[in-house]
Amino acid sequence: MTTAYRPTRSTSKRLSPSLTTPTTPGNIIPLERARLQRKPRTQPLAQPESNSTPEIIELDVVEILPPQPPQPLWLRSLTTLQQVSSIVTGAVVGITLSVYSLTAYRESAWTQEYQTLEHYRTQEQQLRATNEVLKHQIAEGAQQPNTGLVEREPLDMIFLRPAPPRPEVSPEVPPLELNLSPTSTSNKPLGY
Amino acid sequence: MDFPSRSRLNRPRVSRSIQTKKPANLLSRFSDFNPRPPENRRDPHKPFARQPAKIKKCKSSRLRIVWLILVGGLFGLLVNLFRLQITMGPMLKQQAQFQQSQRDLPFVPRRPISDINGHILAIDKIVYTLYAHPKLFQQLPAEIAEKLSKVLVLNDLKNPTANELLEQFQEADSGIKIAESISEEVGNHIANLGIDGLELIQQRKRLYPQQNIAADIVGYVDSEGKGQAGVEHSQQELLERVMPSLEFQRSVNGNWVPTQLASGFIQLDDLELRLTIDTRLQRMARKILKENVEKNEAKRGTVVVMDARNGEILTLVNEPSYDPNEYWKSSLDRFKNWALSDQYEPGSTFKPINVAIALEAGGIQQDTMVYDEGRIKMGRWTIQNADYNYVGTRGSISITDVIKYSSNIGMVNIMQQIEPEVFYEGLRRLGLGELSGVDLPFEVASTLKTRHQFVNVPVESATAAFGQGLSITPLKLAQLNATLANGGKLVTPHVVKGLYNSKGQLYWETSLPESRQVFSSKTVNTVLEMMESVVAAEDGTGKAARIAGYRVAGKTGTAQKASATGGYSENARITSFVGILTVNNPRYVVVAVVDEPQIPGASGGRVAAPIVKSVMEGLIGLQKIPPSDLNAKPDSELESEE
Repeated sequence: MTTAYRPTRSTSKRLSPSLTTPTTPGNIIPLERARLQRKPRTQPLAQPESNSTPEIIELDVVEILPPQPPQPLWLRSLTTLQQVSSIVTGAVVGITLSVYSLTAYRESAWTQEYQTLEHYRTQEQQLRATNEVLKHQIAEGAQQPNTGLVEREPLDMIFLRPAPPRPEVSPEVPPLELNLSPTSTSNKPLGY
Repeated sequence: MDFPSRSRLNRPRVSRSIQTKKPANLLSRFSDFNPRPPENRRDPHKPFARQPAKIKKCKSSRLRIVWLILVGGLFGLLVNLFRLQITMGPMLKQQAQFQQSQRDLPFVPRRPISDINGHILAIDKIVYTLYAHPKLFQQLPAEIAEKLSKVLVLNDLKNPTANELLEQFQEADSGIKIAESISEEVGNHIANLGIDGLELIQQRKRLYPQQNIAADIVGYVDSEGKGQAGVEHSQQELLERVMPSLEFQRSVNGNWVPTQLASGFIQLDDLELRLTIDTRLQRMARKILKENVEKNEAKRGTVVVMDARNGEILTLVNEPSYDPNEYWKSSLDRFKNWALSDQYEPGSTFKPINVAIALEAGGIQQDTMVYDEGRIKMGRWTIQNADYNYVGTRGSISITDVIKYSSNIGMVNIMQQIEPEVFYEGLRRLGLGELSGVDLPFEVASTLKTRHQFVNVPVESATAAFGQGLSITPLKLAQLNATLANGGKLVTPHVVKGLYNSKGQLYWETSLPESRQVFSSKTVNTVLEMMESVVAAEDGTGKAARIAGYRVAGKTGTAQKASATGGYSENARITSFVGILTVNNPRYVVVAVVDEPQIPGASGGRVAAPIVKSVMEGLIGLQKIPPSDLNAKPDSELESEE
């Protein structure tokens, strides 16, 4: 797609040639004259039904609007107010609709999530119960004489005497002293 | 239309001319009814002015009919509105509420019960009850019976046959209960069949995965969800989780949406009630007790293991017991936990307690010698030693020997060194005649004679000296002996540790009454060493409880049972043994009581002491209790191990 840039012209620029330069008097005539001219031409053409001729006549007459009187301040402020309020209304309506739709969506999403939660809860419960039943079955099975398992006797256990606390060894080797000469430290990174 | 123009000024006019044309167009539609000359069409001011009167009449009658129809319709609507809103309003409103909302109680399981290591002892699970409504069947009943018989598993793990189901379907039109307590898995299978006319009702059921292992402590929950025995009964308010029922409303898209969210609804707590019970020890103790009860042809037996430091009950086993999953199959007397609801006369197991009272009162010293006549007469009563018939008079013996040989006469003479008042007060201080305060239901208080009777009738204090004439429960015996193992403190026995969350963190702890110092530690150490001789000495009555390498203190007890007709029964005995582990580092009290063993010569030393020994061996393994002489002879120990 190509986009053409059209320079925008301000209204003052657009109006000024038609008002100030009467370079083309053939086409542009003041409104008063146009009205005067219209009357004698329409009078003899007493054919109201056929409207082809006046159209042709009118083609070369461009009426010029009278300069718009400056709008009063209250009107302008009201217009501004109307524009602002319509924007605000539009925004509010949009927000309301989106909030409403979100709320409606949340409700259904909540219901679905709630069902999932309930499902997980019951499943968790079921798994725990099954786990414990299995534990019991294993313990019961282990008590059967043919499993080859023997009960633990106190003498089967090995208890180790805690070793006496070792005497504190005084450090014989002096701690390493950092070589603080500037040549060696300058090459090392000091930290990361 | 005089100046048709494209200029902006004339536009309103153009639009006006279009408007004026509209009625003309409208009229042209009715041109069949109302033919008019073309020139009339252009004059909007007098369209009907020249119409004949006949048409006017016709028009007004038609108008009236239309008006009547409209008004009639309106009236009809009003009548219907009245009927729906006023007459049928409340009923319809109710119906709508019924259809568009439902109250639902989410699955709120009762809190699980776990043992000290977090193994589950009781948990809720979902079960289904299957109902059939034959009038809603869309298929032939025979077909449904055939399909259902393949997936349905009854409680006894059998599949019903199709004919059995078909017979059930013929019982009624609707609401036939086909099966109860269907597991969730089977329930899902049935739901997946998608048969019309079958209904699964969800219910919760308490599952006890360990079956009868901890039944005496945990208890059971009845079909209405109420705890009926054990912790399930006594800790009802801790186990029950209350949650407001939720009201759901049907939303536009047909989903159910809750009208309001109850606080704490989503965050269902994950707390569980943790007990002090060790299931492993419990399992071991049950096996040992069961074997011994069967071997001795006894009526029943009980084993209690208590941590003397704080009164925690590690194990409490009764035999015979019941499976709480199928509690209805057992007789009622098994639910009451006789270790704390039945009293018996403790007999000789009470002697060390009396010695401690006498020592504490200063009536005797550790090295006091007493004279054992073997048999004495008190008023019209004759009191003699159990071994009088073949030992006779022992003469002057030490207190340790009185305990070791379980001399009744020696005990009578010891307790006569203190005033009966002091003796009675000592017994009262130990909580006799009161409840032990255990957090299990249906506990019975021990009984003691009245002060007047005890002080004024000499035989009362004499019989109490060797443990007859007063009644305690096996649990109370454990509590009393715990005072000897913990430096003289009377602790409250309990099974509930507290509420823990799923991460094993403590949320709420039971508050217990402050333990009471009833003996000095010097006294209890003296008594403990005396009790050691019962087990360690070659001629001790409790040598069956000896464990190599461990210093075990103990005391046997063999008591005649009070008969229903008064006095004592000749044959019915109750044998017991109390063991304390270990003498050098006392901590655990193990009590075994076997009721009415039928083998000849049954005594506490022969029947109950082996039980205590086996349970102690299990306890040593589980609690990793080092041998007593590990420190004494480390070199020989190491050599023998090598």
